[in-house]
Amino acid sequence: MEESNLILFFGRFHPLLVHLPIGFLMIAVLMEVAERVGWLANVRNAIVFALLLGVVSAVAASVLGFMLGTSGDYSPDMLDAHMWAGIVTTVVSAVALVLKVGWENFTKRQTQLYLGLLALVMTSLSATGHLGGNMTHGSDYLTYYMPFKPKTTDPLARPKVTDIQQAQLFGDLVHPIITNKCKSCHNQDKKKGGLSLSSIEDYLKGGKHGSLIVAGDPSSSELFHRVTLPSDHEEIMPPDGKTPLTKEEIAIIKFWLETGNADFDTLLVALDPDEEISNIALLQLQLGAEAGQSQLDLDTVSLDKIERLTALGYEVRELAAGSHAYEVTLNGTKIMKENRLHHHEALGLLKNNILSLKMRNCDLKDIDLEILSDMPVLQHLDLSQNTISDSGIQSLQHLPQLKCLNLYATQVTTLTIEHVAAWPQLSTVYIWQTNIDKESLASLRETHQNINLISGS
Amino acid sequence: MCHHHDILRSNSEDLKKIEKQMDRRQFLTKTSMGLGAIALGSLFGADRLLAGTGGDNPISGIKGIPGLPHHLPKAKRVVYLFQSGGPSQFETFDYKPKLTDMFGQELPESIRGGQRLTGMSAQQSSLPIAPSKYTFDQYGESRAWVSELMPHTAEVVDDLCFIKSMYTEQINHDPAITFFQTGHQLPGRPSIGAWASYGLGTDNQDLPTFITLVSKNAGGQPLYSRLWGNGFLPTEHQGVQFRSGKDPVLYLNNPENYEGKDRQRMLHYLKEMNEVQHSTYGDPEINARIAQYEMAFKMQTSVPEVTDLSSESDETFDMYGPDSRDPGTYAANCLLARRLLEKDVKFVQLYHRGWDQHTHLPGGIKNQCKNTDQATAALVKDLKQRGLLEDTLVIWGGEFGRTVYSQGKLTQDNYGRDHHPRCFTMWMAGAGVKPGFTHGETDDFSYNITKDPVHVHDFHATLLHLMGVDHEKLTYKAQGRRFRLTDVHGHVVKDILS
Repeated sequence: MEESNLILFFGRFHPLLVHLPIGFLMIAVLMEVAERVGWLANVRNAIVFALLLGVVSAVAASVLGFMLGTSGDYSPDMLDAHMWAGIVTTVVSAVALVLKVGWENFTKRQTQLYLGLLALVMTSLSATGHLGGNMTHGSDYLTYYMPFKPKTTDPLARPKVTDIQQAQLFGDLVHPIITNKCKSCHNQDKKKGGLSLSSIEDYLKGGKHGSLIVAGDPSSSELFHRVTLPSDHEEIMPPDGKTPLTKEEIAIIKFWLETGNADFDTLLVALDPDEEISNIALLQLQLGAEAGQSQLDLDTVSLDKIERLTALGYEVRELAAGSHAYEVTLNGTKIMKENRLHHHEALGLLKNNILSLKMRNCDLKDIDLEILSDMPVLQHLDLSQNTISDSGIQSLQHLPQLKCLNLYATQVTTLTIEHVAAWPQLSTVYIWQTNIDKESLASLRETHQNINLISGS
Repeated sequence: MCHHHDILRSNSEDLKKIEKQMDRRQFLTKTSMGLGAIALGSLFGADRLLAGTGGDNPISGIKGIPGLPHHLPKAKRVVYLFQSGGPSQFETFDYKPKLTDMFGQELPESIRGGQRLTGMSAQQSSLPIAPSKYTFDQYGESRAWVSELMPHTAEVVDDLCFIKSMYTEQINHDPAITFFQTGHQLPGRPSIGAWASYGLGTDNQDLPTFITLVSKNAGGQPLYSRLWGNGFLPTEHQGVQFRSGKDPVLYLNNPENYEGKDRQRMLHYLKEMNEVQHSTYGDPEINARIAQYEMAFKMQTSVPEVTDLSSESDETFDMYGPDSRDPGTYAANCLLARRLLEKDVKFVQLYHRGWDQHTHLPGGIKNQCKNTDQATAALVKDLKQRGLLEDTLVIWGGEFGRTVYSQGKLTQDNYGRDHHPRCFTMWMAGAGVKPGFTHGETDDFSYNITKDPVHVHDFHATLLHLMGVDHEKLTYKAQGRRFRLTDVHGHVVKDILS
């Protein structure tokens, strides 16, 4: 427990009290405007009262603000600007109050002066509030989620890694955690505890409570120590009310300090991380299995293309939200002769996005298969229960990504298997109730051991 | 549609005034939906909604929610063969050879560990070890142990993924089965199938997303519709029970003396009126009602078609066994399940009762196996040869296991077994799980788990994972908090994923 400090104790009421003058002065000005426009009548006393409350609370807030400023946690430049803006607000609103009370009936010039002062109050009030907010939340807080904002100027920021082999332990894993969870209070403008985390020098310098990082020794490193304290401890970081670090994030920081010797350039793979750390890293960098769908990198599909298919009776489903990978199913709905071309055309519109195409029992003919020739990402194709023969399959030149082909209840023979065996990814073919008899199946299994041929049992 | 308003709303000024006064509940319902829609729009991004995700299918029917699936799903459909009553692991899959020499010996206290027993066997002066009366053998390339009672299942072990280390906290049927089906031991939560329907929506506009079949050829502990209920989710997500006989779905046929020619027109008009109601009161259940009338109309044709087994070949019936020709039996339900899955019904849940052998277990379980073994195996084979096992997940299991000691008198030929929640066996097959694989181990008494325990919550998490759903992210807010199928628990069992 730190010794008590009355100045700082009261000072910390500044953020609480500071909202009062903002509200009082704002409502005074708004009422003044409303009365002049004609929306309100007989509010002079109310305006005087609001201005009075505004001035009194502004004085109080200024005094408390000055006390809080002595903590040294804030960047002096910003603190100065905030202080002077606050003083201007207080003084000008006090003058405006005096004018309002003293001049019962304004002349034109007096009116102009008074309104000018109110405008100045609004301006300086906004400026004070904004500067104060920047000091509390960090100067990028307000615009952090702004669309189209210019690129960040964080000197430690690195372009997104696409390969785990290239990932820097500090730059790509540790620093992003710090940016996310710590930098709103520890930056150039707001150095809580004297600590900034904006550059490598800042890391090495640390704050006023001992060494931030000690190579090879997490427990002596303030960076590790403070984030691993019990959640009800006085000194836990991030403090009460802010999002704590996850155990994965802590594991990464520990790994950097301990195994990585707190080096700023080492690549993750150079340290031979165990499975746990690797998995956390993959997840944090959005690489690997869980993020597999984003690696498909497919183009977006417009709704009208999907509607073309659904109008023909297809079920169209995006396999995972945002993946732009689709499963398209036509199940038991016969393709009418007269609209075959519509089907071909509609399927063609989605050809770069269909991962799974299921056309079970829908009177598909050999001539319909041509359209499939140009499906670069197709992985799963179900043509079962259709009158399809070898010539149809042979018209399919090459399906580079196809893994699974269902030909159950079609008229294909061994020729089909010989043809599709050349497709690189193909691993499973369903051939129950086709024209492949038991003996040929046995010899096919012998010659194509990399393909799982599944028949009836 | 102004004239509809006139019909429904009174012209009296006073009544109109009352109608306009929104009470707190209505205000919250209406505004929260409006605000919710706005929030959703910003949460998921306008581009995604416009791109037409699975959750934004322009055709009517159950839609699923935006942002799902969270990842590429392995299982597009699930068929859950629920063996109600608690099948004994000793006479089915958990082979314990060392017990043979311990026939009649007292269960060591070190194994029981002071565990609380049910009221049914707690009073017994002795807890004699009862080895399985039935013999075991190893099958397939995976060399999995299966008892002689399951000769057909033994043929497909290379497609199955056994979990020998399931456990639950519940020791009696009602809470245990409710826990398994809804993720909570007390009634009121949505069932697994309802969550799947809510999250993922339908793949077939003409059939319900979630269908339940209950065997007629088995008695035992009661089942109740809340096991396939929607809980607090919108009503259209509850399981629809198909029955045997000429009326597979109740209240679906046209009333007597009504030919139904103008049914579609009638329903269309009814829908318009319901929409007026909805715009007046904003009650989401009105939408559920509209959806269900539409679904019922479609089912008037789709259900007779899908339940008509006459197009199935004799070979198929032979494969599922003679019972499969008798509608409503477990075997016939398995065959029907395959037909539903073929039509892309997302979640099919079978229930077969009668596994609760406190006494006369050898005879009872033999009969249970006889009624289910062949059809269960046939379903796996049939799905496989049609290419459906590729993206269908088959699940077999009950609500808990049974005790190693005999409940009641132990003889060479007869014994009983009490409920045992600490370990039991389930299996899964198909989409996304390792074939010919066994996960977890139990001790020599199949009393405690010695390796890789899998809790019911873990099973739920894994099941949702296979369907492309992150179990921590599929939530629904009811009564002031957000609920998940897995509550605040559950870990995906990565070891069994293929």
